Amino acid sequence: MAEPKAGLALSVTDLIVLAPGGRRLAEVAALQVAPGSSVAIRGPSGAGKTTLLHALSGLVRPASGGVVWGETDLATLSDTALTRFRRDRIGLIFQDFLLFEELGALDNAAIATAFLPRAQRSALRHRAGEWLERLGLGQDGARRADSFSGGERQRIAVARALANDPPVILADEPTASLDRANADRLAEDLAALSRDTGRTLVVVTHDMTLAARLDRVLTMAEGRIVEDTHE
Amino acid sequence: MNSVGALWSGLPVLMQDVAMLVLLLAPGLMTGLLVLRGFAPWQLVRAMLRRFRGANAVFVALIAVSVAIGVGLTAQERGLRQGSARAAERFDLILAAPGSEITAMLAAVYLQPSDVPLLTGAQYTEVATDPDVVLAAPIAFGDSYQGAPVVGTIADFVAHLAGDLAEGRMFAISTEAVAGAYAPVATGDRFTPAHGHGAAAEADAHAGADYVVTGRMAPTGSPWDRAILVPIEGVWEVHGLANGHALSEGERIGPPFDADLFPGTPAILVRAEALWGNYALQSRYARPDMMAFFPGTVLAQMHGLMRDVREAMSLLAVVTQVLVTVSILAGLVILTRIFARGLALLRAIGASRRFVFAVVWSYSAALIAAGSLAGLALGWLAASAFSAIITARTDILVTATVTWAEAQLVAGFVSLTLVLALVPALAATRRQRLADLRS
Repeated sequence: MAEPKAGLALSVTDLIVLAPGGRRLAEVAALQVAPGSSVAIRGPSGAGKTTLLHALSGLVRPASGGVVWGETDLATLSDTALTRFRRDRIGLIFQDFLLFEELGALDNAAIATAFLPRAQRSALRHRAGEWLERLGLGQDGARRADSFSGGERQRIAVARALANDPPVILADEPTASLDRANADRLAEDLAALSRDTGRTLVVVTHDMTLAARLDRVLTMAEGRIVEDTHE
Repeated sequence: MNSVGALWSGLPVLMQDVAMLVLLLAPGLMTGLLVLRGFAPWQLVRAMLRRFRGANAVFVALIAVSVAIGVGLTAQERGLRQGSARAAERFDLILAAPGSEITAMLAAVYLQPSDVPLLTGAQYTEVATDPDVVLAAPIAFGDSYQGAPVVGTIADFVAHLAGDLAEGRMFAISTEAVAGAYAPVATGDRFTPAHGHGAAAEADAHAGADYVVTGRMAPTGSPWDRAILVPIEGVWEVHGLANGHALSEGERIGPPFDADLFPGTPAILVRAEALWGNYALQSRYARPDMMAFFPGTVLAQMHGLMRDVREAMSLLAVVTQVLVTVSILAGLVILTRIFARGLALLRAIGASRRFVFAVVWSYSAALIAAGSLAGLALGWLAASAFSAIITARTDILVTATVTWAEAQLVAGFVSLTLVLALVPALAATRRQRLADLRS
């Protein structure tokens, strides 16, 4: 496997995200994440965890404040540039996998080949295959996604997130749809991912086991970070 | 503009057809090239095709049926027009008693039973002895055998109609017959004609008046292929009439006929030595006691009258295609909503808005292309089936084939709908990405 890209540092300042009606969904005065570290975001439902994650990924534009990854301030990017930044620098993992059930595992993991520049496609597909191999699904690349168990499907989603070799991984409740055994395995995979490859990892989770494996745990309530615990 | 027109006119017909096809396809292909530039959305299109298999099959079937209606109608109409013209092409000039040219043509060329007034022996003799006339064939009908018309005429006309016989020999006496290519009798058969046609035919009316089949004509593609041709003297004799010859002539058949012993004929099929001669004859015999007409001209008039109907049918076919297409595109917008979460995922992981646009457009294009190709095949099959039915019922050889005209019709449809498919693609890109992602 190729050398991973170094993780990016995250700097959030005076971030405010509003709902369309004006309700305040998230408000983060300051948050710094060192490159290559792993962070869990916990909190009750409606605390603003997923909103913060979406703001970190640029999926929502904050009403004010800034999200800076490395040297890149997301607020300065056009919609097209932001999309490209997400494509090249961020790997996203979702709670319910969001796979294309009709496609095989490798086709799902390498789905970005459909829209990447032609020159990057074969390398991405190769990496997607390597990640599937590393996550224990190397023999099943051609199998349709809907024939896998929940845990396996989430591993395909992880391979998809990593296939373009992003320095940042953002995961939203990645273990919520899994049974305990699969959740534990995925938690170990994600922790190892950050630890071994130097990627910056931010995970929204209710899963204490997963949170405990990461460097730092943030607790949110009513849109704010109310607790910040380092390992 | 004139130079473009001259260039176009100078192209061979095949080149014009190909060029027109390419021109019609160009807007759709250009749209595709622009939309797909830099992308490879086929896996995702495949996923969408698999996910909505049932709905996709219905959409493809709807497109196919609407295209088939257009293709089938135009191919069938052209096949019928060409078939009817081909059936009449051996009939240069028809002379008949004053009345309806169409009725006389249907009777003489297409052997449709009808009551038409008769030309007299004197009229026939005048025509037959005209120095400009090479062939003047009287005809007589009214009998049938197993549904096939029994038509009386002269040997020269049989030769003119079908050339050399496919088997056997020409009739030589009034009780011999030559079968049309597909007539229900074989060489050597003996048969008794029924009086009249169809259900009203009287099978025993001519008991004892048998014919022996001596030969079979080659196919002509006309209703005469199902007919049984006999000497006109035979028909007259069977009906108890004089046979056009004095008793002293014995069993001789064929012209010249004795005008006083000529019972009459509903039509004389006339041919001059040269084409211009037919025009001279037509001019000469179009007079108060006789009408002279070219079947081709009457057919052209009939086709002209039917042109409005044809155009209305074509318009209806196009309207049907457009309505079906609009319905399908509306359906695609709905299907795309079902797929919206997948599309939102693509946007989330870095696909551009243009890529999502390309995926949805390609999906629509795949359905349109599949439906149109299936429609072309279905239209050809339907036209062939209808041609077979019409040929069986009218004995006019109708061969409906898919030609450049149908290919161009489908190309135009494909191009138009590929451009229209931009609408659901655009709708897909306007959706709320985050809402779709959370849905």
